[in-house]
Amino acid sequence: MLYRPETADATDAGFTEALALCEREPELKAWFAAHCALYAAIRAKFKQVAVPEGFKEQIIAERQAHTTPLWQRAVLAVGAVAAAVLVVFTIQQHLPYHEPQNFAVYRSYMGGIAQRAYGMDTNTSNLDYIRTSLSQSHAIADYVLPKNLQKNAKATGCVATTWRGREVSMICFQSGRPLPNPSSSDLWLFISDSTIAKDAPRKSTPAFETSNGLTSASWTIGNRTYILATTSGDEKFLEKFLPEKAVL
Amino acid sequence: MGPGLNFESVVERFYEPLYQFAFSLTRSEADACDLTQQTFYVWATKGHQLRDPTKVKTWLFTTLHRAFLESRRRQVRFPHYELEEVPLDLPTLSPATVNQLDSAQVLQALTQVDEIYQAPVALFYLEDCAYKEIAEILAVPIGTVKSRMARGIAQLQSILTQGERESRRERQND
Repeated sequence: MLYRPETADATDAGFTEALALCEREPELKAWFAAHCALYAAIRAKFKQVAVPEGFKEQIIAERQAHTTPLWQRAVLAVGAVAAAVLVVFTIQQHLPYHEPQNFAVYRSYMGGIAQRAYGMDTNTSNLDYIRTSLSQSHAIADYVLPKNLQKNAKATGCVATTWRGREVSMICFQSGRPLPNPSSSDLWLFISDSTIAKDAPRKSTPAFETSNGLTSASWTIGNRTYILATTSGDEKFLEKFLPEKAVL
Repeated sequence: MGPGLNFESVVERFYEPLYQFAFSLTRSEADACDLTQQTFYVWATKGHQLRDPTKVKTWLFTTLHRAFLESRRRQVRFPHYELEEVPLDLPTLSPATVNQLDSAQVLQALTQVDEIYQAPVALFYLEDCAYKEIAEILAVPIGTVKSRMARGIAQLQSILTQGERESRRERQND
């Protein structure tokens, strides 16, 4: 009953005699064949559990983001002194706000930034430069971009910003639809820590929301929460930039 | 870290089976991601201590299982409903019946198995680990692994059979 076909059990000495007996006894052989078929069927169901898209890249990116070369540690030690001076200022940033700090408020705030005029920290269509720029700004740089977004949209630049003192990386794109200003963007990806709000999405399957002329999709992979927002279309339009749906 | 044990190659080889094991234990995508990421974080910081590269798989699965147990200890305990004692003879569950189910239904059945049997059963079906390795991962003697596996498998197959009988009755009543 504990024998597993097509595994190391085939060469396990503990099963050798039993396997030989199964070959000799017709009834036992039939039972054994049924056991192996059932094992394979159940195993196939366990193996169908799909890993969220981009998860492997997320794991690797996080490790790269947390690896600090030795020479940088000296710089950080000096920086720690300066950081102590900023503590008072930072505490002020975290004083309670009158608005609730939930995900809808965060999403609405970021949507507002996208629709207003903002200055890009880096203007480029090169996604590697964008990641480097965000990393050098000590913003969130260990994100995983959906393959569809990389394929179907063109990056225009990035902004390192904050919400309630929490870092948010904003990457701007053009969807390909005509825009009034050729250099503007109509697609924005916001990346934050998954603890940005207590009710931030927990699933990797995007959840849609439309408000104030902005359609958005939100999802979480690992410890990063993503919002992809657009002014140029509805949910169907946004789908072609989103991660592939996981299949269970 | 020796050749072949660099971080990216370890992630490449094991992220999927680790995630599947974590998901079979937690049935939550978010929790499975957390456990898997935590495991690779520990690997990144402590994996250099492993001298025998053939033990990487066992090391990773052991770490993940420990993290899972730790997280369970912190959670509020939900009532555990005792399954009726299952007969030692296995129910007549056919591969055809299992093929009609989807993955979620099989994993849901696993949740109804006695908790102490769930990890051994998941490893039995998911991974090609030798029983000695499974014993190391679960930190129990090999004899205990086998008896927990045998009981867990019997429970799982009984639950799947019961589920199939109930579905058939419902179809007949329609």
